[in-house]
Amino acid sequence: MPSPISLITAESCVGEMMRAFPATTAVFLRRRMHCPGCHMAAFMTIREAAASYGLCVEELLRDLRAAAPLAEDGRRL
Amino acid sequence: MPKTQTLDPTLLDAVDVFAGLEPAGRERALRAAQWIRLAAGRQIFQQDQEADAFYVLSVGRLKVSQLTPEGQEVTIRYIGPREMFGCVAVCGGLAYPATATAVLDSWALGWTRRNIADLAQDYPQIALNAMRTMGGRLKDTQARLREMQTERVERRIAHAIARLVAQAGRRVENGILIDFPVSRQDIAEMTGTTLHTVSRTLSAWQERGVVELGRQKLTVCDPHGLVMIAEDLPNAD
Repeated sequence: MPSPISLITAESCVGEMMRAFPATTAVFLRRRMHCPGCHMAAFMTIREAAASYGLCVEELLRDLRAAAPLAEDGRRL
Repeated sequence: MPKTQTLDPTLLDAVDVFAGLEPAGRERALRAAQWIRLAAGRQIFQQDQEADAFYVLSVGRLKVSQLTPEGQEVTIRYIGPREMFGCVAVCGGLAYPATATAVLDSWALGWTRRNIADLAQDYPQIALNAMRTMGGRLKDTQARLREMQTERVERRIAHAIARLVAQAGRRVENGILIDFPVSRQDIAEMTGTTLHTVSRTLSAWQERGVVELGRQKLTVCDPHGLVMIAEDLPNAD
């Protein structure tokens, strides 16, 4: 049964993703983004978070996916 | 760098404490002045040092910087020719609030507090000028204090709204709706402030597109904008 977040995409919810993959929290901290623990994280997508900080969403996604674990079939989550 | 500087008497016009002085007074003021020569990189005075002299820059350029409570050095402004600095010595301050460092080879004309006290004995206009400068500084300080108090209240209100969002927020088309009836009065009570302050603050935020207000309904249209207020985040460079 796939988890609610089976892929980290630009439309993923920031809060849900951090909860599913706590390691991604470190990516936000490194980039000096205030998403960890932010009340708005539950309501914003990664695309919106990137836009709020004026960042390239593709670069952010790359970092987040690199921080997240691999699924059993070797697919990056 | 030359060893002496020729004095341009009109430099005195740039010194507000000598405004309106008769020619004899100007003569005295010029004679009391000391030339200070500063090679680039030299400090003329340091933050928290006793403020015993003030200056007007004749040639060159200075940087005025402060160490913040967080330990960061921040450049406040630059001083160019014909600008005064170290004025707190005239205003009766005890210590320099900032550090002044030459960024170019510079020359300044300086007067000590003692000079001013002596001159003021014979030329009371000097004391009056100093009072006027002090008055201006006091007004600026009071305005800044009022600003800071307003900022604190706004942060509290933004925090309260963020908590309401966390508790009962629902994503809607134009933002995040707080999904139960919440009034300005509720927010006033949550934040220990008045209905008037909450109304004024929320109206201003609505103008900026941070929130949208309805009847007992509040939508956060710019979530990041709200967090920037609540957390006092610096603007992106």
